[in-house]
Amino acid sequence: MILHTINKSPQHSAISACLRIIGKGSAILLIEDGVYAAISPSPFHNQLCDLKIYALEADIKARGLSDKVLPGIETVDYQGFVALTAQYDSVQSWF
Amino acid sequence: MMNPKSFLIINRHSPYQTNSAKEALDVALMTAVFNQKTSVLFMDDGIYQLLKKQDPTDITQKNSAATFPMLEMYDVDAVYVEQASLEARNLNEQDLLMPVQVIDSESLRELIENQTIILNF
Amino acid sequence: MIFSLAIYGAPYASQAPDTAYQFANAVIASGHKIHRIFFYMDGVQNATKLASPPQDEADIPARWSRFILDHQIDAVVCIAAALRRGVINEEEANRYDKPSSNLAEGFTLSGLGQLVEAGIESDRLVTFGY
Repeated sequence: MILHTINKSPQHSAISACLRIIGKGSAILLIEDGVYAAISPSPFHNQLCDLKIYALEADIKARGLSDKVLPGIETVDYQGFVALTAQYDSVQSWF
Repeated sequence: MMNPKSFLIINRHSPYQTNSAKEALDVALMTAVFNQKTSVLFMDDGIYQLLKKQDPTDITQKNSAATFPMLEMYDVDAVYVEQASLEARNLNEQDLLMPVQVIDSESLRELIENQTIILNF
Repeated sequence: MIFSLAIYGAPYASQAPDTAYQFANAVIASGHKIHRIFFYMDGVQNATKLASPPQDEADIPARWSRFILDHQIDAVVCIAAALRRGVINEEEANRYDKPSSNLAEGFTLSGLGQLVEAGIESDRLVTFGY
């Protein structure tokens, strides 16, 4: 099971590429501009709902999104990021 | 001796505008030098790296495509191209400069879950 | 657990070096080990000692230098990627007859094999893309 990090906004191809191939039991961590996917019911939102989604708290706060994060998305700090990378078998970065 | 790990190098960016294509290929060749099981996957705009008839002379760059035959020389196990990315770009296998394995998203999911190390470029 | 980091983004051009820096600190704070930090592609710009950002901005290269020395981390800059982008140590500057060098303290220039080795030798290789 893989932790997929995404650092681009949902309009970018990174998130759709990741969603095409992500396997069951794997998870997504939204970082940097990736956190914009945490607020918008994008075309991918339905699929996002079936997956475990995390978002990096510092990037959410930096971008003014703290009050807008959709339910079901769990925020983590940098130590939480490290814990997730340890929890999953490997990390794949989409950028 | 270190145990071989499997590496998958994923190319998602077009050639020339950035140096990504060239530097990703260097990584693929290096994993093969280390005798690791190496596969290379092209998806999204990375597919444009494989188009025939590239000639970047007039933009004063080297033809990044010229190095692709090295993948075979270095015993890279497989070169995959994602079918959905080809279709989305109105391209097919005949447009590509080397033989590849066209792979659908479901098989790709399996492939990716079975790699030890995935390096995205 | 043993971690290695690969950083592909340049400071002030990409957030990658900032995220990677916070992540690296959190790895140490969580009691894990860092086997190597590998700087590749535009990420080699993190290793210049000549960056002079305004005082109210983070000095990203200097911050890496301190972190690497404080924690005795193997920080490798891909030599081919670095030389083509003007990041160079004294030895290479002499070899290529360049007027000066700029590789910051703590960083080493070495081959791309060090990235592959880091992948093989670490439990986790985490990439910070541009």
